[in-house]
Amino acid sequence: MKLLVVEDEISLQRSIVTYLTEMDYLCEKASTFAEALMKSSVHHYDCILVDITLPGGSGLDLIRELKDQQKDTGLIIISAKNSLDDRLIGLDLGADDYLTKPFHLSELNARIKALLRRKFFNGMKEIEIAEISIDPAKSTVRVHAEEISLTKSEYRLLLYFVMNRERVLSKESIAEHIGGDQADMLDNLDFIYSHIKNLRKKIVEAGGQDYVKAVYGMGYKFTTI
Amino acid sequence: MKLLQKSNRLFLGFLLIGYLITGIVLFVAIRSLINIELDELLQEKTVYLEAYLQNLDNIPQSIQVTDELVEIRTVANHQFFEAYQDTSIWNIIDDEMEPYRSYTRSMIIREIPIVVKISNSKIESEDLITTMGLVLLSLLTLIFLGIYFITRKLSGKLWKPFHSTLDQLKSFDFRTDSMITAEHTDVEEFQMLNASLQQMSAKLTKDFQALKSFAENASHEIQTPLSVIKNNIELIIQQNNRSPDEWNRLEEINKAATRISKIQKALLLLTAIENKQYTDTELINLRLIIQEKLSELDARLQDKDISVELTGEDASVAFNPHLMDIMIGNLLSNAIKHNHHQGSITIELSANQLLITNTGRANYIEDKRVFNRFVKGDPSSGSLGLGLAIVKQICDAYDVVADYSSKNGQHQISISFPLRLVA
Repeated sequence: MKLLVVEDEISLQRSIVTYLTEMDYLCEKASTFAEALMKSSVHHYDCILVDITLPGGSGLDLIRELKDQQKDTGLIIISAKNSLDDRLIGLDLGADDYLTKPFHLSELNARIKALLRRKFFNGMKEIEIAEISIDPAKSTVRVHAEEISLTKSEYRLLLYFVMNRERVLSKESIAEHIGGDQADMLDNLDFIYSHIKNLRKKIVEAGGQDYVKAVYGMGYKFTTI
Repeated sequence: MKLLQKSNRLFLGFLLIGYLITGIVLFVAIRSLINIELDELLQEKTVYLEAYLQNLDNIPQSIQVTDELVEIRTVANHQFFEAYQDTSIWNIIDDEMEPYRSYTRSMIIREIPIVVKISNSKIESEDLITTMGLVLLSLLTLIFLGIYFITRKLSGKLWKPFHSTLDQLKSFDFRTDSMITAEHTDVEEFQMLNASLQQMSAKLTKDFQALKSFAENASHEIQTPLSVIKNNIELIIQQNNRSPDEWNRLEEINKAATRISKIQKALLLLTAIENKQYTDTELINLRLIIQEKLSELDARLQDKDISVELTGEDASVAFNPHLMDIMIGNLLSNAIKHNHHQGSITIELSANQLLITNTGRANYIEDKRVFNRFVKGDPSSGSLGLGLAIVKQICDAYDVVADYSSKNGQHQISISFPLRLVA
C-alpha cells in the first residue's frame, strides 16, 4: 500500500512516516502544496494524509484537486484546528476522515487501515490473526471458528489491537479510542484495565492464546510472535 | 428625565418668574400712573368748583356731576390742607361698593371756611388693569404652548441623527464585522459624536478580531509541537530495551504533553463560547443525545459498575449541536468521574429541565465553587477542573440556568433551559 504524507512540519512528518513505514506502508512525503500536487499527479496513492495549513495553499483546496485527479484515493485530513466548520467542509469535499492534532500514531494507523479496508475490500474481508478471525461487516469475532460475544468496547479494543499488531499502544491512546475524547477526562485511565482483562479472558476461555502483553506502566501490545 | 424635559422645565420656570415680576411691576406702575392722572384732574376740578361756589347764594351740602361726587362741609376756622385718598362708595344702581379716588381741600367761600371733598370713580382704571392682566396671562399661555410644541417638534427633527446613532450603538456587536454608519447631520456636536463613535467601533472590531485570531493561532500553533512530542514518544515506546524507570519518565512526559494540549483546547473552547461564536442552532432531542453519550462512555460506566437510569418525558431544545454535545458529555463524564464503585446515575428529563443526580463522596468543595475554572473535586485525580466550567460558560452564554446541590453523598446538577428554546 502506498501513502503520501502531506505535512509542512518536518519533525511531525518524519514521525508519521517512520511509524507508518514500520507498519509496512510505502510512504512518500510532501511539505508544500505544490509538491503534493506534483507528486499526486505523477503517482497513484492508496491513501493521502493532508494537513490543512500548508505553505502555498490550503489543504482543503488540495483535497478538491485530488478528488478530481484520483477518485479512488483515500483522504485523511490532519489538522490543528478542531473546528466543526473545517471538519464538515473537509468531509463535504470528499475527505474520508478527519484527525485533530495532537493524535496518536496508533490511532492514525487504525484509521488508515479501516479506510483502506472499506475502500478496497468493501469492508467485506475478514481479518485473520492466528486462531482469531474478525468480520468487520458484522462486527463479530470467532476464535477457532467459534463465535465469542464481546461488548462494544471490547470489540473496538480488539480491532484496535489487531490493527496495531506488534506495536506498543499507550494506555492513553487506548482510553481515547474506546472511551471517546472528553475534554476533562484525562484523570483515570484505569478503566481500560478491566476491559483488557475481560477481552483476554474471553479469548482464552474460547481456547485462544493470550496475545495481549502489558508493557510496564506504559501500555499494552498485541503480539503473535 | 429626558434632556428636552429638563431644558423645558428650566426655560418655562424662568419664563414664569419673569412674567410674574413684569406683571407686578406693570400693575404697580399703571396703578400709580392712573392715580397721578386722577389726582391732577381732581385738583383742576376743585379750582372750577371754587369759582362755581363763589357765585352761588347758598353753599350746598353735596353736588353730583355725572361720575363726580362733591361733599361740602363748613368748618369753624380755616386752616389750609389738602389730601388724596382711595375710598369705596356705595353705588345704588349697581348695588355694590365701587372704588373711588377722592381729593379733600379746604377753601374760603365768601369768608366762610369750608372743606370740599371731590371723588371720582376708579372703576374704569380697575377694568383696564384686569384687562391688561388677562392679556398678559393669555400671552404667557400662548408662549408656554408655543415653546412646548416647538421643542417637541425640534426634538423629533433636530435629535433625529442622534437617535439614529443611538439605535445603531444599541445593536452594535463587535463580534460581527458590523460598523456604525452614522446618518449625515449638519450639527457639529453630532458630527463629532459620530466621528468618534465610528472610530471607536472600528477599533473595537479590529482589536477583537486580532485578539480572536491571536488566541486561535497561538492555540493551534501549540498543537503541532505537542504532536511532535507525543508522536516521538510513541515511536520510542516501540523499542523494547528500556528500564522501568525510563518507561515511567516517558509516561510522565506524555501525560504532561496531553495535559497542555487539553488545557489549551478547553480554554480555546471557553473563549469561543464566551464570544458566542457558535451561532447556528438545531432542534435537539435531549434523550437521544444522552443515550448517544452514554454509549460513548460505556467503557467507563462498566469499569465502575455504575447503573444508569434515564426517566421522564422527551424534550427537544433549540441549541447549537456542538455545544450540546460538549455539555451533555461533560455532565455525564463528571457524574462518572466523581462516582464510586457500584454507584448510580439518575437522569430525569422534563419539558425544559435536565436533572442529573449521581452518588459520590460527601461534599469536598463548596457548592457554589463547583462551576469555577480549575476547581478540582479531587486534587490528586489529575483532572483539569474545566469540565463544569465549560458547562457553566455554555449555560451563561445562552441564558440557561445551571445549578448544583448536594446532600448525603447525592450530587445533583440541574440544567434549566429558557422556555423560548424549548420546542
